[in-house]
Amino acid sequence: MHPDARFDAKAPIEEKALTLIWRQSCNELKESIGDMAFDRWFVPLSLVRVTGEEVIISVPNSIYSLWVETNYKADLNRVLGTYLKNFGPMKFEVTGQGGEEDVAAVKNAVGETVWEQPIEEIPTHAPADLKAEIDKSKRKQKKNAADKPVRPDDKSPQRRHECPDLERLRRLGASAGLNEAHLFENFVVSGTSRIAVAASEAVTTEPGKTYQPLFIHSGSGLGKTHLLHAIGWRTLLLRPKSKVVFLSAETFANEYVTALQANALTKFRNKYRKVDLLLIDDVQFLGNKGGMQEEFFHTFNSLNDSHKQIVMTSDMPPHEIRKLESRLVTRFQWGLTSEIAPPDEAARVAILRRKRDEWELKVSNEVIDFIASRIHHNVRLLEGALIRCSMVEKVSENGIQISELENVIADLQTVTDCPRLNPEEIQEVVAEEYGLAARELHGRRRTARIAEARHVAMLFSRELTDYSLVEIGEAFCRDHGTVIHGINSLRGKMEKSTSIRGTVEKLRRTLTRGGSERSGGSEALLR
Amino acid sequence: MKFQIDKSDFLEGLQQVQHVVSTRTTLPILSNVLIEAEGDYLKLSTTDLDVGISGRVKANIEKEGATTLPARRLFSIIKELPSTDISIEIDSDDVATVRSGPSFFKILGLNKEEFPPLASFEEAREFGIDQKLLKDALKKTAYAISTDETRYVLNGINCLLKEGSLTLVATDGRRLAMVEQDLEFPSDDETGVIIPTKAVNELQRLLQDEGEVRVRLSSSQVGFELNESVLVSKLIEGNYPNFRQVIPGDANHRVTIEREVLLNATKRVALLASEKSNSVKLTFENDTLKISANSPEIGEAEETLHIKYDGPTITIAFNPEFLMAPLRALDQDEVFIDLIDDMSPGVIKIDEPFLYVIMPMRVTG
Repeated sequence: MHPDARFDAKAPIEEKALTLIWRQSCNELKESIGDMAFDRWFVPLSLVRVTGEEVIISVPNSIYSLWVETNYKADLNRVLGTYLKNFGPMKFEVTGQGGEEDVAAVKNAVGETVWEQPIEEIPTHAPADLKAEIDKSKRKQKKNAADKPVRPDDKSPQRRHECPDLERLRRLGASAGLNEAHLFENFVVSGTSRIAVAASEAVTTEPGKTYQPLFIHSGSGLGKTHLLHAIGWRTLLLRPKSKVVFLSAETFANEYVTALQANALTKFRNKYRKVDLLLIDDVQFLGNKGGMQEEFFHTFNSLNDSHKQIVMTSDMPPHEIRKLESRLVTRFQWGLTSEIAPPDEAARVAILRRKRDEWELKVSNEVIDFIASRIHHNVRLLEGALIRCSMVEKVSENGIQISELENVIADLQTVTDCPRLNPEEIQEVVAEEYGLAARELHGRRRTARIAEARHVAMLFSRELTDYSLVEIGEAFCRDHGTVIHGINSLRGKMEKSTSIRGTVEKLRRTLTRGGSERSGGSEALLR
Repeated sequence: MKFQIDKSDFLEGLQQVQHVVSTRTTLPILSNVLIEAEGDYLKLSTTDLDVGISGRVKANIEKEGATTLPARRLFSIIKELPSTDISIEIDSDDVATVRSGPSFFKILGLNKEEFPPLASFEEAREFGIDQKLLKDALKKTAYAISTDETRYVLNGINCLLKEGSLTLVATDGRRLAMVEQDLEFPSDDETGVIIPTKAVNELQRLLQDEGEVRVRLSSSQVGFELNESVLVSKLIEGNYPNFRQVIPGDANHRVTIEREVLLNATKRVALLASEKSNSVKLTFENDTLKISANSPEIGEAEETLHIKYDGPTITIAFNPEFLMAPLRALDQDEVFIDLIDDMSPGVIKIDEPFLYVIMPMRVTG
């Protein structure tokens, strides 16, 4: 594989891409360590996260982490290295149920909970001058997220130390774990996110009452975390005395484990059961974690009973989170569940323009329109593409050619933006590999070679596109049942035959990274 | 306190307890041995707070009492004394006067009140095990204990008492040793504990070929009472990984080899195992086993053993240390090596309930 085609771990990588990388890596691993070892040690594993600091692989229990780490870590690193670069050291995370004793320990611990005194009432109105004070001192970083009755510009900006309230807000925000970049103010509201934003704002005006809990879910990179931070800032601004805590479910889990080890559960509980607003990011992380769910369940109840506000985000709706106890699912659904759908093209353009202005980049509207038309599902990728294009624009002397940009952002579109593939394209690529004409794949002939190619194309149409079975069937002039049957029989054959497996994986690589090659035609048109 | 004691009795008593003495200097009392004179016996105890041990030796007690003296120093002094009769007197300031023939020593001790008491086992479960059985089982497993302190649950032997058997397991992630012995005990005492390495070592020293050891188990401590001695240790807290996952399924091929022949051949070949790969290669083919190793800059070695084997050629590489360790610890004449293929772990068995899983090394290139 060409080194440049590898994913850079320092940039965010879509979950879908991770799944693909893992699947490919598994195939290679199987070759090098043997089916027997693979089946025993790798089947239940998954690639959870890849960053420049770490690579997290989830394992069902400690024997897996022990055995895989001591015996297969080098193989894993090598295989991952063919798809990834700049990734950090590998860590194994036990995500399965702990041993019996673990569960018992959790139960024991839960039994001894010390319930806290009810916290004093949250002041419903912050002192009026706080807002004014902050509005006055508003500068570049745009820290406050307040609804502003007064334009800040009509007063001369004041120096920071004259604004103790701003400093205070900052301090509060920092200790709550909030990121200053994420405010309601700079969240681009589009049709698809309007409800989620409105609900978030409602939570800040009437915490614990309107929507308790608020559950926001969306694909990655669409602003869930941004909204969480924004709720935190707004709440701190309106109610400076309230205790706000922002954390990811993973942090929650880690702290819990640490507390368990240090025998400091009471302290841990006090920390989270005493807050007024609990913002939990990526709550799907609790799926599959029995002991943690128990703890979170009690935290949830405790906060709920004392009318505190909880806001959670996840990359899927509560009932779809794998192995989440039903009592948690129902609790998560109590309040409001709101989805942020991927932005439509207009919203994408708005987001890009906004980011351009915010980061003071010199990027033409033309380029922005181009990016918006190419990258669909993820705001983070949009931002990445914007920055890349601005860099290219900066260095190119006589203005930027749209056609050049196609290459610049190609890797952002490919795997991560697989829906750009369609069954027709897949048919072409597959047919070429088998030395057939694409039309033969939707013809009636059923020689072994054609049938196999047809099934392979069906498999990829199913796996790499968003097309429904019926739509895929139509593309092949078949009905959906035939598609299902075709895919299943192919999978059966793949189990048995390495050569078919090899062909399929080769094609998969071509299809998933071939963004720039495949769009060669359209590039010519653009010129 | 005053007593007379035979030199060799005293030395033996001190020897038994002095291994535990802490080398950490933070708490001086931990480098001391507690000496208690009572009735016809001298009771000697040492501890490092994790493991504590006490034994008793016969002595002629003139005046009962207790004190603590620096264990290592006392041992060296006693060892060098010229006469077999030793008389020791301790004054109220814990200063010991040692007299033996022409020799005279004065040793400053510490008050016995400072000595941390050994854990008591009032609410503990208690059962007996045959000493030889336990000694044997520890010997067959202890060498596989992990020394990697980041995985502290592996720094000991996992002891499972379940369904009428005692299972001892040790692993470091690259090999795993397990012994399973039938053992009668009350079924409501089914339990699993991890005994730390240091306690395992001390216990191995104390165990003999006859008699019974009384085991007392509380939730965080274990005590062993045997041959006039008591060993008390903290248990390692945590869950031992599910080791059964490691044990391979049915083997395709079984090879029977004379244990000593295999051990000695491996020992010789290992001399030329390269430092980098640190592996010896075993090739099973046509009724022969070839053991070979080479280091590019030194040379190579090969030993050929005649065995009964008619399966396909299997070439598998092991860390020679990991291959030899169980061979050393076992005393059977023959061992069985079970193999699946080149890449699957090998298993060493004997005709007793013992099993040793060893991961193959994949020699790259």
